[in-house]
Amino acid sequence: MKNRLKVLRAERDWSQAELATRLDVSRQAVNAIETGKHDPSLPLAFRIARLFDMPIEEIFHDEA
Amino acid sequence: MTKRDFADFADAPSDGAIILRRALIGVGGGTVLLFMAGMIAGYTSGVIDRGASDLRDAGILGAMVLVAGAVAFGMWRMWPAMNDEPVAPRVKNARRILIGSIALGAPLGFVFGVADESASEFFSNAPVSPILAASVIAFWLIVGPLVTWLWWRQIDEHEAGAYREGGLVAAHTYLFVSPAWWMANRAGWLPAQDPMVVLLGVCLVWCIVWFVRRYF
Repeated sequence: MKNRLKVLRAERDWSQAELATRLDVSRQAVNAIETGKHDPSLPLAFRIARLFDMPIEEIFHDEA
Repeated sequence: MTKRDFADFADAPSDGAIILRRALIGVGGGTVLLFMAGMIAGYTSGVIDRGASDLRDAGILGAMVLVAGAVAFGMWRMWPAMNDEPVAPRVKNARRILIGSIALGAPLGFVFGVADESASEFFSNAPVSPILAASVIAFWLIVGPLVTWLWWRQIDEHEAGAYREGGLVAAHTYLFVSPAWWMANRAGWLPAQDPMVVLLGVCLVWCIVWFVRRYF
């Protein structure tokens, strides 16, 4: 699954660690999501969407 | 805070070199420290068995403690620091639990090693005293699961996934290796299985998969 997390984070001038702290996860988790190595669970995806004030489908895209 | 260039965000900061250096220092220095702890425990047990200590014993023990201290100090000085980044509360809690369990387990292991004369054979299949066995079993069956459960509640879903995957690979390693070893033993090709060797192998596989999935 692709996502725009890195771009959204850059727009807000946040480091991975800052975003991780806001989401209460590790920096490795943010890195894994950004690089597509880890697909977040629905609860985490909703937390990300709320944080960026956007619908989930504007952040995460199905590759199919 | 100055606005960062987008290039700063283009590549995720890599922890690989820092983690590998930490691993080398940790494994190398940790092995030496374990060896020194074993030597100190063994020598102390010998002195207690003899019932009398002299200045020579004190000197040898002092020198061993000094070497262990120097190694620990060297590890601390050489330990590479990560970037000074904010850390999420749950990550801090998980780290505290891990550090706490090491801080609790290491001295207890040392105390067990010194307190029981049969403990010099601890990492073998030699008989141990009932008191030592009961203490270790109680610690392993009560404190172990409790600390693991507390740690599990704190880690994030990415680490939990890495841990689960490591467990799955380790379980399959056991599933395939253990019966093959058993059959090879019956054919006379390998010695009988040592359950602790099998356990250590399974744990090693678990740790490697967890580490790779979490950090690479």
